[in-house]
Amino acid sequence: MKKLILFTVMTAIAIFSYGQSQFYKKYSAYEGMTKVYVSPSMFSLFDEGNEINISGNVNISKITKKLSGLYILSTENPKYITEMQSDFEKLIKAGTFEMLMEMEEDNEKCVIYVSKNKDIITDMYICANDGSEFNIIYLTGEITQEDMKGLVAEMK
Amino acid sequence: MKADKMKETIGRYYEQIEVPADLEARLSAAIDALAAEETAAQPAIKKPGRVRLVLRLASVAACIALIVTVAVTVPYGKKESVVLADTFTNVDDAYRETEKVLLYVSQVMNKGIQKVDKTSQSVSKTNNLNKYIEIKKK
Repeated sequence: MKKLILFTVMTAIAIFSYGQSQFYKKYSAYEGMTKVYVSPSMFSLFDEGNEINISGNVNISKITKKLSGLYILSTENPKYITEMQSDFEKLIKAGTFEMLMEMEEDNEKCVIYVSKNKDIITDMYICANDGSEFNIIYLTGEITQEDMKGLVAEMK
Repeated sequence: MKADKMKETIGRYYEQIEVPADLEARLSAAIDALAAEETAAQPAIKKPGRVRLVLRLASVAACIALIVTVAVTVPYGKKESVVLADTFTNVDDAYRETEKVLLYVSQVMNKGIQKVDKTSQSVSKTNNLNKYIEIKKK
């Protein structure tokens, strides 16, 4: 009896827990969804020649070298937005993610979740909703805290 | 001779006995009544309550497991499985898109840190004001 209950519970979890690529694969098939995918092979082709100086004392070159994947999904369809939000919440709960930052300003809300392996960030989800458009950005790689500091502009 | 005599005697004896007309009906009614009594006396054989509950739960769980298995294994909808392919064929375009994303992350983080910084400055000013008020009270 216990084995039967355990089997039922595990199967139910399997249904509801999407992997990250499964999430992207599911929604990238939706009509009208804006999607971007940059593969590890493409990231391996980034070299020193691609560095561009960015204003604002922000240095992103260190991070681009550490990335291995980029997934972007964007939509303005309210039905898709509701569904994506629900699936995204389940995805975050199923994984070992912690909230790095949550920011809400006027109508725009942005939440950043990260998953770490010791002190190295291996996965980063950025979920942005400005009321009309919903974006989910997923980065994979091996980003250190020092690399993340490069994203923060020097304070005057 | 003796057998013949015996037969005659028995025949004369049975001829004198009157058999009631409804004897057969009365006998069958009596038999039915006895059978009904015997059935009422024996309790119905039932399975113990616990066993029945387990069987019911097991049948419900088996149905749920079957539905879940079908839902997981049988593909539904007409969407074909998506094969991931790079959006960009040009390395520079891919790099620019990555840059945009990281700059966006940077903007969000900087906004958040600026707000935290402003809040901590306000808290610091409030603490200084409180110290001044305490000194003045003394």
